[in-house]
Amino acid sequence: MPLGGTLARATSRSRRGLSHGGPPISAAALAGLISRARLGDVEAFASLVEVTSVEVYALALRLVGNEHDARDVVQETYLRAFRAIGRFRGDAAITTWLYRICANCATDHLTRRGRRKDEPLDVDLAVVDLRGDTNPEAALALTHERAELVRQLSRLPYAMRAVVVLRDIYDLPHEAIAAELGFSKTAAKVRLHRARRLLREQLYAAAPDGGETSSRSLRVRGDGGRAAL
Amino acid sequence: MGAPRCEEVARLLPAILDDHRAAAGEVVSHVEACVACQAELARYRRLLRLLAQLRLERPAVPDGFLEEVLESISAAAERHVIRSALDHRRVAYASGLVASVAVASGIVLLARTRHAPDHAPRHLRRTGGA
Repeated sequence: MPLGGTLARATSRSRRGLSHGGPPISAAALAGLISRARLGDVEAFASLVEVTSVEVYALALRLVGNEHDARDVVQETYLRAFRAIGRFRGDAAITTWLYRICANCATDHLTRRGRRKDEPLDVDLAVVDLRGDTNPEAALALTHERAELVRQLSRLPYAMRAVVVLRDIYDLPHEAIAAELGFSKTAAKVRLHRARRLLREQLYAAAPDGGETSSRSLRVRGDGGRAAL
Repeated sequence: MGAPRCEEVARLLPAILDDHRAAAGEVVSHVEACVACQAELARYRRLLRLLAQLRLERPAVPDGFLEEVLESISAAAERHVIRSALDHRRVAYASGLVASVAVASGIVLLARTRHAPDHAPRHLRRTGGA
């Protein structure tokens, strides 16, 4: 199969607007793509990239905190996935498999670049919120609360941030997180619980012995309703 | 163990969120009876809901990024195809070499076997003849 033509077709599809989040795809169609990709069909793999790239990019961005590093991490993620797709057994969802590779790549990337893993991120990127809240006031308050959460999340050291992102946002099992980040399962759990406690303390200032929930979560920048990643 | 205090329960809550069955009976009883700890648990649950919702937010993917990823996969695929072709050729050369060596060895062995009596010590040949 001519590879140039394969990728040219895939690229042209993406230019027509079917990429970046990709068109909705049925489970059967996705399974078909995976089967073909496992047998070495490059075009099927390219289609898998199209339908998963936004989510993988979002995870990379949350882990490494800037567009430049996130691009490198996503590239590496898909290259590793391409080499390993023949061994993908389908025990987990393809996205879960890709998230694991992405987490591993992000950790390697930060280690290779010698960046301090406890360095806070400086993330303030525009995101598209797909939920569409109907009550404007509640939506604004929620948007501010989410923005503050994202800000606090970005200030966590890498190991804690990675664990809470993978577990509480992307729902990966503890074992998978521990394996990809190079911790023991117990160490991963300890970091997760510490991260949750820190986030709770920063987001809701009320002491555990009662009192009002703090409005700290609402003291955020006026960003015109644009949440930050 | 005596009745746990609010501070102790607060320390346990981040872990209990994952598996409430892991919580000791005393802790469960305390939370059921303590408004402050119930409020704290509610804050953690709200935090987890907010975190889960972040998955629905999509970053703006840079223009041309998908094309870059696909190009790099294309290059990797090309390399893979070239490498496999070279590997096949290498295997073919190696197999040919092994076959040639095997045939040559067989011929040499056969030749030696056929000429073996001529090379036997003379006294043995004489003894055999008598």
